[in-house]
Amino acid sequence: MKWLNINPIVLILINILAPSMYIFVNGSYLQVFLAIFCSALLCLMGQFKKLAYFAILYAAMYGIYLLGFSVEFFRFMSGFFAVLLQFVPCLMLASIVVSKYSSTQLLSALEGIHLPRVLVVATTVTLKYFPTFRREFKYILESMRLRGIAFTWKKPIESFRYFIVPQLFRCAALAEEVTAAGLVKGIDAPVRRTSYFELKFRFTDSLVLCIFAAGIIGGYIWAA
Amino acid sequence: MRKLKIKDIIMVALLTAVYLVFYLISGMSSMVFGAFGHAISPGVCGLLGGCVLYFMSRKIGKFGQFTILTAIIMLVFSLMGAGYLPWLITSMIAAVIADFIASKDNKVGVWKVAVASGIMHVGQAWGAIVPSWFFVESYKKEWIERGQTPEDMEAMAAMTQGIMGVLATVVVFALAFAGVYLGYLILRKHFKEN
Repeated sequence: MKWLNINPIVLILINILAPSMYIFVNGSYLQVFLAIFCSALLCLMGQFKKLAYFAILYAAMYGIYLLGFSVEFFRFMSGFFAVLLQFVPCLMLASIVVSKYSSTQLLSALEGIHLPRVLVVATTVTLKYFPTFRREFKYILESMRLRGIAFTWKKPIESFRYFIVPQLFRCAALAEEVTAAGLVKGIDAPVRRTSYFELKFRFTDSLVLCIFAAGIIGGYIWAA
Repeated sequence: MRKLKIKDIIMVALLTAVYLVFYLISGMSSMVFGAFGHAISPGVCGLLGGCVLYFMSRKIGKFGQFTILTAIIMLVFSLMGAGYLPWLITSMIAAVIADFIASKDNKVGVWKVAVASGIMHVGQAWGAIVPSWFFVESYKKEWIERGQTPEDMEAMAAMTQGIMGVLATVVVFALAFAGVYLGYLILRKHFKEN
């Protein structure tokens, strides 16, 4: 089966627009609409594992939210989770943006919305570093284990140092590598950047945006 | 004033990823302290992320470093669907002020970096404090629409209005200030500080 391939700019646009819509559309409606819309997108893109993961996350958060009504300790946490719940659909799309598309595709997509190049490069690097961060943390833990050092609450500053110092200096080393790779690819060239990946705005992209817009307008009319 | 090069921007981007991890940890851990914890969560982030800012000021030390770090955070949060316009405005203004204070070079005093971090995090905290001072009703309405209960929003507004808002600002500044000194304590031997 051929899975849907969406231009990343569509996902980015939806994620930027969706939270602002809470001003115009009924909150409960928007939450349900976004959850259904984003789940459908994930299905059509063949991202079933991600969908299952987010469904479990959503259920767990909703559970804590409900717990807040009966257990006093969870009351304020319940409010916090009520807000977090409405980010889950956007997180679904953001996770696809980070994992499915390469840095080059993301660069091309973000340049399409005419953001300053500096910000585009920086944001792409930040987004792509999150999976690396996890791996780096595992390396730190492994090195600490080999040296017989453990994180302990008795010495919080020492433990924090073991975690943060290698991480920061690794960032510095990585910055050199990423810069060298970027310069080779002409990242600082003062010309319009071209891309191997053709990120055309296709019919399916327009259709996805139209369905999103129809849902928002429908919610607005319904609330009025 | 030294200009940021592509290498500096990439390093800021990588450090922002580390800083964002602290941002999420502080956000999650502060919520157990209720509405006031939520109001001071940028300070908790400043306490943990102070070493990232100290490291950045020593490794880069160029004008624009705090602004780019904040701009990336705002953009990442917007992409995640968590953008909020007043928060963006106050954060960006504070980041520019922080740059004016501590981005002259990479040898500025630790206290200047600490003040810059304090102002930067106060700017983030003001994203909730300023709306509750000047347009509390629309602030509450928007977040109730976003899923908060009216009771929790009342509690949140109470913790950010009037004297509590001032107290939250002072606490956030103090925590962020202390965070940079914590970073200095941890990293000084790596930078041979005088």
